[in-house]
Amino acid sequence: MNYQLGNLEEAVLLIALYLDEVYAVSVAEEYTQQTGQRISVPAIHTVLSRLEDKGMLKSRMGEASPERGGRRKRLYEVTQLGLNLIREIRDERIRIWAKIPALRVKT
Amino acid sequence: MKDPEQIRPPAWANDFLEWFCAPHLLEEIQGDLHEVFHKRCRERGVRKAKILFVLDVLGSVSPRTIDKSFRTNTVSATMISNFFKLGWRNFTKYMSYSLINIFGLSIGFSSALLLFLIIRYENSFDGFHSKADRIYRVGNSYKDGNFDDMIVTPQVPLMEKEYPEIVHSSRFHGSEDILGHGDVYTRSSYHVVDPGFGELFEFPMIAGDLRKALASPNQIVLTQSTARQLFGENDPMGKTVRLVNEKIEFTVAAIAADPPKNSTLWFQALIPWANAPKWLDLDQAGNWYNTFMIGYIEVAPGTSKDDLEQKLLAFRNTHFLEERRETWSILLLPLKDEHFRLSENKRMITIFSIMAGAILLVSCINFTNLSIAQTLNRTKEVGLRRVLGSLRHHISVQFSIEAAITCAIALVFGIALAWFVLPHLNHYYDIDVSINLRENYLLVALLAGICVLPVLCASIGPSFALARLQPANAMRSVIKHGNTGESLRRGLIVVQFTVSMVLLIGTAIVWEQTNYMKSQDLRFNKANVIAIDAWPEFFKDPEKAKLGFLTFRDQLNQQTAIESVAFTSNIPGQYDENYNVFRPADASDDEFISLRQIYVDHNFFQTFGMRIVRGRSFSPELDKGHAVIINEAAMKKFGWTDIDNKELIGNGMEQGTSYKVVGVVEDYYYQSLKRSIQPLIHFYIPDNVARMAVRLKAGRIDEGLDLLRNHWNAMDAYGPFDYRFVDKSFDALYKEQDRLSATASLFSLIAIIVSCLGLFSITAYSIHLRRKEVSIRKVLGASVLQVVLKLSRAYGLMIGIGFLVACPIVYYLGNNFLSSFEYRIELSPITFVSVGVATFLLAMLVVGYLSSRAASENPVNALKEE
Repeated sequence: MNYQLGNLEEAVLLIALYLDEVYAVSVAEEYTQQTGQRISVPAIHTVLSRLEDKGMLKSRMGEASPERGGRRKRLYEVTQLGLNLIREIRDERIRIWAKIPALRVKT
Repeated sequence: MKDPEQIRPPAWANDFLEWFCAPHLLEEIQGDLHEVFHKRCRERGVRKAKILFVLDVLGSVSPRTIDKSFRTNTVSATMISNFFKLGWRNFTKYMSYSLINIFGLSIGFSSALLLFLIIRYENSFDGFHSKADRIYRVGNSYKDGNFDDMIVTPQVPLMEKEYPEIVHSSRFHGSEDILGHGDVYTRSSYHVVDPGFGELFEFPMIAGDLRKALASPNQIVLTQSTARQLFGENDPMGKTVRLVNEKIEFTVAAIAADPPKNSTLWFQALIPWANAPKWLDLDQAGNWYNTFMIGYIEVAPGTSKDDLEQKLLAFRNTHFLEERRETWSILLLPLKDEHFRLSENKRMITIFSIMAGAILLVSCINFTNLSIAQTLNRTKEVGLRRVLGSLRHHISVQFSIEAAITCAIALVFGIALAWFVLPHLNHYYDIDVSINLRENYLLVALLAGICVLPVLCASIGPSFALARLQPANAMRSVIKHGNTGESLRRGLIVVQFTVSMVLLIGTAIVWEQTNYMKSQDLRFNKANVIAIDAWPEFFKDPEKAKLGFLTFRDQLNQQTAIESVAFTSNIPGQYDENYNVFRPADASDDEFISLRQIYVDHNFFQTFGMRIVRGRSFSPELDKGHAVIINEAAMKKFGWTDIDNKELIGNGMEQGTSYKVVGVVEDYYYQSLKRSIQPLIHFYIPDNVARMAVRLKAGRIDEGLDLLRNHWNAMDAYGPFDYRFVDKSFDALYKEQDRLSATASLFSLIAIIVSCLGLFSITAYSIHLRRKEVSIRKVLGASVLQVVLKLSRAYGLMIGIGFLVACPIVYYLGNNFLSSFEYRIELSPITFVSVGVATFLLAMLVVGYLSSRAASENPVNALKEE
């Protein structure tokens, strides 16, 4: 299994952890809000399905809503594997940060 | 406003999404995109939302989302490999047709490619300066319609100071001197420029910075080759170089690469205006009379040329000499047009573009014709495919793939051919063009374009033919080969021959015109005359050299190989655009007429064999300075019938100085015959040693040259003796013309060869189809001649039609071309008819050969097959 995560994948995975309703549109909006960078829905589609392929997300079809012309949405949920991996990434970063002497973090 | 919920995304994009998207993904993707669309409608407006929706749909196209069944249903991989296999078999089965096809296309491709490269090169002049669009050369236009690209010295810096639109400016004045470093000397030109030069122009540098180098005095910029002459392989930066005659020392502050060939500005060394020679800076500073300066300006972005020219009228009214304010105005010549203005070859570029298009057209027609013919030969194969379940578009894909393969091969050959020819072309045109696929995306796009064009032609043609094809008929072979697409093919052959004949007749016209100009009597004897640049400054002791030359002229021994020697400011064929305006001494101030001017001595007319038609030539005894000789054109312009007591006053010259007209010289051609002979005035300066014209006695040329060389060497010169023959340099005026006619000949020859190849293969094919008919005719008693005539008649007719269509086209284009020449040939029907007949004979040779071969075949051979 591939445990490598790209920057965008990592961000999407993090966002997926706390959103109520995780689907492409909501993730794209949250991403824009958090990073200030616009991102297209198709790009998020790709990332979500890639994360699902890697086993970090699982999905089911949700309820139909009127603003989507009665179409259902695909709702995602972070798996245990995804949660473990994102924690591991965070711990790893903290370990590395700890190596930097305070002196060097000058502006 | 409409309820946002009612607004729908663009239907076509939505349909497209539904078309390509895999069904199991469609619902969520479409739902998401619609949701976002409605949100955007509310937040960012409908228009923007629609655009973004389209982008989203396009962004959704990925291998993941594309309907898998959709991919496998169209053309499978095995099918494609089968197409390749059949394509190859067909290729080898009809080897000769295929090779002709590829050969024709390759030639077409490489010709078009080369022509395109030349055209692009010609358009690239001065484009390497990033501000080229905003740079203008400053000139003057006169009320009588003439203009001059030389201006007075103080003009440009003052313009920059007074007009905020002018951001930078620089003068650019070239002069000749000797450059010295230690005891190494080299004859070199140098240009005096303002600090703005570095801002305006971005010449590629080897070392140092052009701007900084020109900003402070006593610094010189050398080109690489000049530096090499002085310093060899040593590093010249920071070393001292002196201008020997001007006696100024410089530090080498920058090394520029030699100016690229596609630059209209050419220099060997640049020095800052602060070091301008005294004669340039002191004597002529503030001189608003002499126009001999080149000046460039850079305008602020968004400045319109016309507006600025209008505003500059005010500048003229304040600064120009009073008598010029009425008749002169300031002209801005865009840098981007300078090359075409100076070389006068814009027309050549148009002709080349037409040729590139024509050759490509001819070779594409070949390709299409052959493809149609071959396709029809394969009706059984197509029928079988259809019966086995091929769809019509499968057949189209098949033929397109075959066409694409042939095209790709032809393209590779074509590029290889161009690659091989290019160095010769560069040499011949004295240009610097390369095929660099990686750096030239435009070139790649063009190549792809010319590759796709024939593929389209070739696949559209057969598709038409096959659309009507019923599989059952195809299998039963009831298709009448001859009729399907026959009229289209014939029409295309007519087009081909029309195009070829247009090119051929056009070339003949260009040839005739060039020869006409070259063979014109120039009204002076250019044979055996050599020109030598003999400025006294080329010698270590200029005074002695000057005296030496004058003595050489005056004490010429009639026994030597030299007939006569003259000193002049200019040699015919190389007259500067140096104008001034003059009026008769007894006329009023507004009767000025602009004349070109040169300075000659008393031997000038005799040395060149020019005829004095009125009055007399200059004489050292009778004329002390203020004498002039005009040409007939000038006399006509003044409206004189005689020159008794006629005196001229030049604009801006000292008050009371008038020039006595002592003679009139027959109008001799001193420039290319492209233009009419313009009014010209010769001033008399007996001891102006500048250029030396020497008439050598026929048959004793080498002897004469030795004599001159010895004289030169005896005077301790900085450089070696150098000379040129006047007739050769006069011929060089027609260089562009020569190139044009040579190139036109080459490419029209290619066009006719390609057309004949096409004719050959198409005839061979259709005769092949009519073998049985021919055999039956023979069995029934037709003679070989009758059969040949029968087979050839249609082709003769086609070429005849082609000729009739070509004639008016060439007539129109030819007249258009000739109208730019002052002295031109009349279009003669003989040119048209002879080219027409020659083409006809050539084509008939091809057709006749093939049909006689078919006609002399034993009928049994064709009839026994069934």
